[in-house]
Amino acid sequence: MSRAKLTPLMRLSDLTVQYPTRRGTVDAVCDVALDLIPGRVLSVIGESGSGKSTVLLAIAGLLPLRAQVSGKLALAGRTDNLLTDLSAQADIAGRTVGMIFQNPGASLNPVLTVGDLIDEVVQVHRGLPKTAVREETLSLLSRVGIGDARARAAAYPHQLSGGLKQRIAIAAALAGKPRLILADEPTTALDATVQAQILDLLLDLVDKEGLGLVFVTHDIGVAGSISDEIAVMYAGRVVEHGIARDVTTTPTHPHTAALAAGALPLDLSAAQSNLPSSTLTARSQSDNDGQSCRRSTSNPQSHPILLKESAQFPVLQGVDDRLQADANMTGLVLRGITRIFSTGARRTVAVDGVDLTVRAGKTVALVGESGSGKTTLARIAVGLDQPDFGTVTLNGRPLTDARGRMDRTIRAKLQMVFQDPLASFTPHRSIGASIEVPLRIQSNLPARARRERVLELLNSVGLDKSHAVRSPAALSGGQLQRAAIARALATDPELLICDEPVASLDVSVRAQVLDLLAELQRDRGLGILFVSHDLGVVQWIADRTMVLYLGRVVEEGQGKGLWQVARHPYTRSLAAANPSATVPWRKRPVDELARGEAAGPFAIPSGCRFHPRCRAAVPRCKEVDPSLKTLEPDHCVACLRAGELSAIG
Amino acid sequence: MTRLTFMTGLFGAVILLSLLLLALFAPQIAPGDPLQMVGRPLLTPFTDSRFPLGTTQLGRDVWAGLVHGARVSLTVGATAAAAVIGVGILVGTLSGFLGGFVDNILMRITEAVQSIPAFLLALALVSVMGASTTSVVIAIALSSWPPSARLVRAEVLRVRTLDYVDAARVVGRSPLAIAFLEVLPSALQPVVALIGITVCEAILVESALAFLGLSDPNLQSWGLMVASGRATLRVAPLLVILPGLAIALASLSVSVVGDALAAWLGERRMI
Repeated sequence: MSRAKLTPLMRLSDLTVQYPTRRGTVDAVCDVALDLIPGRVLSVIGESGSGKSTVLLAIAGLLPLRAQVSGKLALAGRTDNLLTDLSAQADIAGRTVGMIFQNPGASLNPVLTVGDLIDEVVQVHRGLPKTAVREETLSLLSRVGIGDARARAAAYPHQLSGGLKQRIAIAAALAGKPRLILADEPTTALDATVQAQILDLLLDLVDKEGLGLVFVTHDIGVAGSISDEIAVMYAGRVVEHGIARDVTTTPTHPHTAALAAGALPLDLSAAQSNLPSSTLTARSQSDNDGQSCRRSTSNPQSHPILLKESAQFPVLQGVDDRLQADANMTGLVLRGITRIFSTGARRTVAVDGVDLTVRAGKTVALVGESGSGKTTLARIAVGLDQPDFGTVTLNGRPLTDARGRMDRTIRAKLQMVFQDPLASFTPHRSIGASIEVPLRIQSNLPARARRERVLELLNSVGLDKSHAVRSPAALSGGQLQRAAIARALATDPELLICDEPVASLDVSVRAQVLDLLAELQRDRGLGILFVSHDLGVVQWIADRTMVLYLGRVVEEGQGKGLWQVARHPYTRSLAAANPSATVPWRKRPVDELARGEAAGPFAIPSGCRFHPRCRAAVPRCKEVDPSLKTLEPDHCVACLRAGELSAIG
Repeated sequence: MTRLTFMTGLFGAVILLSLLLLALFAPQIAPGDPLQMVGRPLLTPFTDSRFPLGTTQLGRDVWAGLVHGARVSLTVGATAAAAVIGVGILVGTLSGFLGGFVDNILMRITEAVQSIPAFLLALALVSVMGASTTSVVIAIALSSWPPSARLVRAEVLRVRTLDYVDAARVVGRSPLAIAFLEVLPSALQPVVALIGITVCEAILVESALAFLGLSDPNLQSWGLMVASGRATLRVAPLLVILPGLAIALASLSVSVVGDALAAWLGERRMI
């Protein structure tokens, strides 16, 4: 390492950011000091409101003018104080410091083509002649891993996928040849496999070009895996700062420990040995109910969607036959579910012939990236949406009548917990009143008894009387999700459908909510359909896991062990893309990662729908659409090469 | 709420409150019929203590006319606006929530009504129904509801995709209860902002109709006073200016109070 590299690229000291409000000044950030040398990655982690983004914006000089900033910032050998000197800030923006935001869709100008957009940035910072500008733009695009740069440069942002947009945003950030990249949750809005690709790109830039990277994230897994150093923020202060490995493995501050414990890493090596919580032990003792995979009846060659003119639907036929056998089955049973959305002439097959069973006391997890159809399936399971083909039954009874209406007794047995707890409560009603609504509809209790029941329900999820009278906006995310669970329990349901119930929560409360769900399941024998994109969470809670890709189940198996024995290249790609705090990103197996991004449910490829992204694809995969086949007891895979591909590790 | 919104709102509230008090206690403040000829015609204001604002060319008391005119303007303004918003909420909620066929029919009707200039429609309706306060209110309501219906519909369309509407469906609420108990209250905030503008417009339309002689001839109103003062505009301009000022103050105060109220409610997240 040369001497030049050892001089710090960024030296931030005593950063304090205050906001004046009517009730006095509020400290957003207090006494933060951070250093970074070139070619290194510094992650700033913390929960929402910890001040991590404020630190980043202060370095970039992007704080609102009313913010009172004090402290010292030296960047790339400049001596003037960049925190307070506005003209100096304008001077470094884009040239010394490049910034990447969380939502690439919102940070790219929608009326400019990608090429024009980057041209503009290049022109502002570099003053090149016009012909040279486009050359530079194209080279920037290929630098961020965009193949066919010339064609992409002519596209508008809305024509590109989320991952590509983030690459474009990175290219724009690199246009002024900055030495330091500031990234504010740049992969949070992306799917797991795409997140992995973007992390690869960023680390590549750091390693090859010696840039410094400050990476703000809430995900200790990502931080631990990619960074050299980690600063943990809590309530506006850095509470722990050190080498990444030390911070994640031997945290000294209790908040760091809480973050690490709540992260629920996907553990591929040691099956269940070091997963947290006592509930897990209780569950692993309960026997596996030995249900084998349901083989999808939808034969791809004769599928109704592919045979547009076909008047008879083979799927329905097959389902009717089997329904007889399932009639005495308990639990929620979905058979041959297909859901097609039509907008104009375009037909989007969101879910394509999925079979699914949730029994009392068991948790079935649906895993997949955006566009996989997991939320559509959950909505169908709870009766919020009707399938175009296939049947949904609860304890052998159809969920809805022919007109899509739902019987009151069935309605009460199926309840749902939503992703965003704040959005799931009516804003003008108090929490208690919201929980009372289902009681008023589903029971004949008098008013007094209803109010007592509301308090009982709140107690059962660890809340009390004081929460009942408050409005939804006055509760924290975790408290709200507990209240949402209490509301779901009001009708004494047999099954809970949970759509990403912890995705919007901070990690420290995430584990509490999962624990609560597991506890309620044990006490009440609830069946749970758990939709999630987070493999760590799924591994922790699921008895059975189903992996969805573009509306199809591609792999199905045991909840906890599936990731170790995964055969489908997509499942393995998901597992490989999952960052773990203790495994350095640069050392993980790269060849498992899927290429590109899913085209979305409106452009499903022929043959195996995963083949364009698959690293194990053979020519046959383009033509033959594989069906779900039982590989071993309790493990099914829809892959032509399932037999040849060995399990992970 | 910014300081400016607060100050203008406060200013509007003071004016509106004084107008309301004048209207409420009109018989006590200016006893008798304001259409009665009580003094010498065209008395200059501030010359006779019995008629502080002078008299019209027919010898009517201008002060009494303004006070009693406030009654007519504010009553018509408030009732017409209530009717406009009521029709708007009903049509907008049904249209937005039910969607499909019902939405199509209701929106085509809305557009049809909107394609006729509101004032012309009101004019035509009053001409047919006869000049009375009730027919003026009905005419304003029937001609001015489309904007509020469209606003409510747009808000309902936004709110009905939120999770708590699904949450209400999952616990088994009936569609009608969801539309009016879950969706509508959250869709009302922009409607509150619309109340001010609607009352303001109703006051203006009422004045304009009265100016054209299409109001109850037995009630003194501001529009009527402007109309009759027109003949003596050059010798006694105040006969037009004073009622005109009253119309401007009333509509302005209602409008700014409505804005401030909407801003305040929006901040408190009460709706």
